Parts: sequence; structure tokens; C-alpha cells
Amino acid sequence: MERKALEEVALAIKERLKLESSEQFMEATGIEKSDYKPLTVEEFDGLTFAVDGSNLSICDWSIAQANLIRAGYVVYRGKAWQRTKTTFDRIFLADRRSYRDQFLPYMKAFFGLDTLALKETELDRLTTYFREMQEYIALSLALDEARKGDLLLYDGGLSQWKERPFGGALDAIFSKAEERGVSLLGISKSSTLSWGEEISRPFIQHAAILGERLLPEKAWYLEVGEKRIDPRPGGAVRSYVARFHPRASRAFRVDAPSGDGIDLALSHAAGYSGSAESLGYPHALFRAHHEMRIGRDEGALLRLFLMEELGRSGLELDEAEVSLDYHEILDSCL
Amino acid sequence: MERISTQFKEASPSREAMLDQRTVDATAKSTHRIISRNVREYQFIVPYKERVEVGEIFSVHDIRGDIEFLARVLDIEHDSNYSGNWDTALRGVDFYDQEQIFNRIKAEPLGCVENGSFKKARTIPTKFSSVSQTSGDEFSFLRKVMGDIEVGRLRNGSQVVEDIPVALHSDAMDHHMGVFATTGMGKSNFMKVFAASCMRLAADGNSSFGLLVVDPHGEYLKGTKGGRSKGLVHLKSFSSGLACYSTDRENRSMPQVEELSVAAGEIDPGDISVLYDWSSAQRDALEAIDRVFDSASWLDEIQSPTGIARMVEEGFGENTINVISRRIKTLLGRNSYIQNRSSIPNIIRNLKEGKVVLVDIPRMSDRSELFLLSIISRRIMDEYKRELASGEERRACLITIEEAQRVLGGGSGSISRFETIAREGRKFGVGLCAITQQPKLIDKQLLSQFNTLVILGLSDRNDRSRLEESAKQDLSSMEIEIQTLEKGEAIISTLKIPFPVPAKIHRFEDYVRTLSSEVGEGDLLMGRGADLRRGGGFRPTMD
Repeated sequence: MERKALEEVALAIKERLKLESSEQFMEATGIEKSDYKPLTVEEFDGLTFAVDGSNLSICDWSIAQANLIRAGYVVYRGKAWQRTKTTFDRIFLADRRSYRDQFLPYMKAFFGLDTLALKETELDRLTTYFREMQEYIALSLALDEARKGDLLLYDGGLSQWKERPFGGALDAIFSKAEERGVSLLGISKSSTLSWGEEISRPFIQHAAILGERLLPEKAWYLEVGEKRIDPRPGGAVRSYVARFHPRASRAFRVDAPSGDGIDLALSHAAGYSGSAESLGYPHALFRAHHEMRIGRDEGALLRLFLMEELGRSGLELDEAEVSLDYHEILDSCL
Repeated sequence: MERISTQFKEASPSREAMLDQRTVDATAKSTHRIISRNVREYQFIVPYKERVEVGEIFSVHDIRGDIEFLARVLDIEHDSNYSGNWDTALRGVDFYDQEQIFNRIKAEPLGCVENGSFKKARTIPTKFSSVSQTSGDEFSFLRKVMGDIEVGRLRNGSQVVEDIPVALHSDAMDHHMGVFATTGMGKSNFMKVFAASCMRLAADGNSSFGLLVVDPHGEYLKGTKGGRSKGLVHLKSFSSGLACYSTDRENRSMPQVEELSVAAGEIDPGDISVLYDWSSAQRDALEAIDRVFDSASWLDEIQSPTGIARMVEEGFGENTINVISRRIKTLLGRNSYIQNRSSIPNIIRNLKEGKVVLVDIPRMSDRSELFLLSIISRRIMDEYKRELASGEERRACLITIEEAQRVLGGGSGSISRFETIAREGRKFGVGLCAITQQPKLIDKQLLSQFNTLVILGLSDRNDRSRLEESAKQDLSSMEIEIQTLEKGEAIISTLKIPFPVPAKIHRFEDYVRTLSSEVGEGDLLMGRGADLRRGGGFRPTMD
């Protein structure tokens, strides 16, 4: 690619990422200085639960993909790790025709739901949905352990999923959290929330820059519900931007089932976001991310074992390979 | 495979059957376990706040059974189960996941203990075998391999293992010993402790070699003035194991000290050559003296006009002979110990008796010291050669040379006399104890003849490299440890002890005090103290 073309791309990116004018941002989004609320960094006596999940492709035969899926949660009391609980750690064989048989037993057993309808376009993402379902199951199991005043953190957004296939599952989780007096926060490591009219500009990052200008060296949060951003969060779930540590360089999008007690819940999350390992990010989520992550070596080993099992089952290696998605053959040459 | 999620045999599987629930909690111990690496290097992890030192010895308790590996710490690194640059973010200083953050210890295998005996390890410990700092009991196998000349205690890192003495073997002493340290690291203290242990053996009648110490600094006999340090005469309990000769009038007045004298007839032209830098013509003339004059009278003859004339007749320049003659006159004038009688026969007799012979020559010049040492060494070698030829039984002998780089640097002329001892002395039972702070200046091949190395701290990398190249045991991995030795700490590599041993050398004054308190002088003379000493060593007291 020519340097000139790269230069143009760089300029286009810069135009989107750089916040040239705080006033322009405030005017376009409707954010005012008073929307930024200082966050008290507060330790508490309860437990912090952090839920995460991951998946890794083992083999892809186009019509069916074998993915290793792992979900679970870690538990902290203050800064001290207590335990890590893996709730699901299996290969999921995604098949568009039989997905209901795969999903429904879980939906019924853990959320009392016996229907699940995915749109045709959603069937391409069966593995992603199965992983999400397992994360919600982990959330539900963590809630079973949690007591009043505990904090339950989820690695991901809660707002947008409300209208998605697992809306029923999330409803059950929100209700359980409310019943048990547990604060539930969904914290997203990435966000597509944007602002601007002609081009999309990153909302979370620019809100963080403005926050640093308005409340330097302070932790803060900002509710985004009524602001002019895209997509505008809807439903009962409330969305926020929060900087959890006074010296953190990042802020995160935070979703909560309701606005009740949000100040305390965010303060508690901020109370344990000061580790050297992940300054400015709730440490329990950092640990959960690492504990649930599936390494490439593990995936490669499973693939090897799977091929051996296929041989034992009577499928010749050639037959198994010739059916593989050709991407896998090409990538294996790299 | 078990891990297929969708293959449920039952119509309504239980929640447990649908999940893989497992919990790891904080009670699971993840540190102090071998995690890698190969037969040449073990790696294990310890909590990041735990103090571990280079040189410390750890035991690996193999989970397969009754085998225990020993490993010495070579290096310590910060490490964690997290990758990335989180621990370089200067803004964050508080670790939450203490069990995920640790120090990775790299250790060198020393060997393994199986059925109570120590041997080299030909395998690796089982992964995740537990690791702990080696305790006193686990070092007990070392007692069996220690010798009879105690010099200190085993050191584990900076901790002294009181129960394990470090002792050299008498029968390795004719295989030469080197003592290496920069100034102030404890060379003199080590030599005094070494001499004291030799005196103890001699007093007990257990000595198998005589030790010759030539002391140009006047510190071995009485210590330093003011009583800050003690000397060998303060070890009264073992005074029968010591013979002293001195050129100092005051010291000679002590009852146990004889006047040092060397007969002029004992001086060889070769002894003269060590004193000056001679031209090739002068060196030729010196070598011809044996041929021209009678060996008993050459010293007088070459100073006389007729003697000079004879040398000129032999074809040497008059100026050349005049220079030699003049220098000999100066030499005889400066070294008043050159007389008609000689102490050397008594010195050799004392050495054959297995005693420590201290030749005290305070304030003597560098050249005169070498001259004297050259004469005595030559006489010792001649005597031991003669006795070997005659089949006579006698004890071995160890000759100490301070600033040994002066005579073992691979030079020529009479300096090569000491090199000859280094190369051939072992055959005749004569060993060298070379003391230097610059081993890099000692000839590599000569250094390789030294089977006992006592390293007390060397800051110069070239010095360390020279020792690593020449040592019989592998010291290459101990670079950091040698560099970080504190005063009085040593690494001792010697025959019969299976690996280079870290030691804390006794402080001489403590050693004297402890020995004196444990063994009364009367007891020693009656031979009662020996059993007590052999029973269990001693514990040095601290000031």
C-alpha cells in the first residue's frame, strides 16, 4: 500500500479519535459538567464475584464447528482472591439444525425457559450465543452464592442483550440479583457507542478525556441514558461511563439493571480497581479474564486429540481433512 | 470425548451433568515447587515477598520417593503468571494476586542424596516436587566428605550452618592450593585459621604435612600491634605444633622463636637472579658461576679481584662481572640473616615433623623476601627429592607464597623455580599455597595444577574468569555468587568434596578463643583434649 493512502487513512482515524473541542463534544451529546459525578473509592466487607467466558475454535468443518467454551467466575474478598469456579469447560459442536437441542436443556434447567428462537442471521453465531448462555449460567450460579451487599461483575454489556435471544435469561438474573440484594454491573472492555453526525467518534474515550479535563485526578461516573449517542441505550437497563481510579487512563462503559444504589455499587467496584496488575479496571474481572482464557496451545492439543478420536471412530484422517474449511488448511501452512 | 456438551443420554439431564463445575481455592499451594527445566538447571518459584539469596542451597523432595536433590541458587527473577507490561506501570504499586506473582529461582543442581549417600544427579526431579531451604540435617552427608583441616562453617546464602564444619583434606595439600581475594576480603585471616588447624593436627600428632609460611608483614606471629588481631603464638594450646624463625630482634626474644639465619654457603647463583632484572650477558655470567667457581666459595670469590679476573678470562665483560659483584655485596650487606650458620636444616626438620613453620621477616623488602623464599624452597625441593630417591618416609610439605603472581606468572630464570614446584612438586610431596589478589596474572597452565581453590571474593571479572577456566570443579555458574561474597565468606573447591562449598571462614580471634576455652593447655599436653575436639567441632563465639 502506498504511503499516501496510509496517510489518508491515518488522517481519517485521527479525525475520529482526537477530541479537538470539549465544547463541541458537550454540545453534540448534551453532556454537561454537572453530569460528571465524583466517585468515592470505597472498600467494603462483602464478596466480589467476577464472571467471564471464552471460546476457541478447535476445528471447523463449515457445516459444524467444534469450539472449546469455558465460563466461570472468580471470588474476591477485598483484595484477596478466594477461589475460582469454572462452571463450563467443554467442546461445543455448533450445528444450525440441532441447536435447539443443545441450548434448550440449559435454558430450561437454569432459567426455567423452554423456548429459544434464533433468527436465520443469528445461526451463524451459534458458538457466540452458546458462550453467552454459559456466561449467564455462571452469573446465575454466582448469584446463588452471593449474599446481600455483595458485588457481581460481568465482563460485557447488559443493555443491548435485553432484546436479544437471552432476554428472558437476563430478566431472571436481574430479578435474582434484586431479590438477593446483590449489585450487578456489566463492564465492557470495548464499546461501539459513538457520537457525531457525519462520522462516528468514540463516545466512551471522549467522555473519558472530557472527564479528565473536568475532574482531573479523580474517579468519576457519568450516566449516558438521555445523551445524544448512538445507539442510545434503551429498556430498563441503565448505562454509565465510569473511571474507576483517579490515575487511570481509561474509562469503561458500565451497565446496571437499575439505577438504584448505583453510586455505592460503582464505589465498591472502584475500591478494588487499584491493583498494579490492572490499574483502573476492577481487579476481579482482570483475574476472571485470565482464569477463563483458553490458550492457543490448549486448543492445538485438543485438536490433535480430536483427530485421534476421529481416527478411532472410523473416520480416516484424509476424510476428516478434506471436509475441513479450507481456511484451516491454508492457515496451517502459515 | 467427555467434553461434548450436547450429547445428553437422559431426556432431562441434571444441572451437574450439564456443567463441568470445579473450584480452585486459596488453599491450593502453588509455590515452592519445581516447574522446570533440565538436568543442568532447575527452576522453581517462591512468593514474591520471600527472601532468597544467590548461593543459597535448596532441597528438592522428589515426589517419586526417597531421593532428594540439592540445588544452589544462581539467579532470581521477578515473574508472574500474567504476561504484558502491567508490572512496569509506575502508577500501580499494589499487587492483589499474590499467588500469581512470584520470584522465579534459577538453581544449579549440585547432586542428589539417595539412601544417605551423595552422588551426581543424572536425572531431573519430578515436576511439581516440593522445594525447601536445605536444613542442617539435610547437609549431614557433607560431614562424611569433609577433611581434617577445619577452616569455617558451611554457609547457606548468608546463613551459617553451625552443625557442618568446612574442612580441607591434608592429603590434598601436596596438590597445591590457591587463596584468592581482593584486599580486605580475609586472606590473612584465612591463612591464620588454616595454620591454626594445622597446628592443632601437629600438636595432636595427626599432621600429615608441614606448612611453611613466610610472613613479610609481621602479622602472623603476634597479630597487629594494639591487640586488634591475634597471631599464631596466641594459640598456646597448640604451640607444640608451631616452629617460628624471625629476623626481628624483638620477636626473637620470645621463648618459642628462633633467630632466622641462612648460611652464605647455601646461596646458589640461581637465588641471586630473582632479585634483579638482569641483562642477557649478566644472566649468562650468573649461569657460568657454577662452572667457574667452587660452589662453597663462589660468593666470596666473585667479589674478589682474582675472581672477577677469572670470569673475564672466561669471556665475560668486566663491567658485567662488576655489576654482579656489586649487587652481591649490597645484598649481603642488607640481609643480615646471612651468616655462617643456617636455620634451614631445622626448618626442613620441622616441616618433616608436620609442624607449621613460620618465617617471620617483618619490614623485609620485596626482593629480599623472594630471595629468602627461593633459597628455602630450593633446599626443601632438593631434600624431598633426595628422600624420595632413598625411599625415606616423611610428611609432605606445603610452601606458602604471598603475592604469588610475582613468581607464577610464567616468567623465566630463578622465578621458574616456583613453577617447577607447581609442576613437579607433587611427585616429591611438595605443594604450593599461592596467595594472590590477581589470579589473572598467574599462568593458566600453572593454575590448572591447583586442586584446592579458596575464593574469598574477587571483583575483577578477569580474575574470576581465570579461575573458572582452571578450576577442577565447574565454577562458571558461580559468577554472581563470587562477585557478591562478603568479607570472610568463601567458595572452596577442593578434591574429595563433591561440589564447590560455600563457607563462612572462622574469624581467627574467635577460633583462638574457642579452642582455648574448649581445650585447656594442660589437657592438650596430656592429650586429653583431642577426643573432645574430635567429638563435635566447636561453635565460634561472636564479639
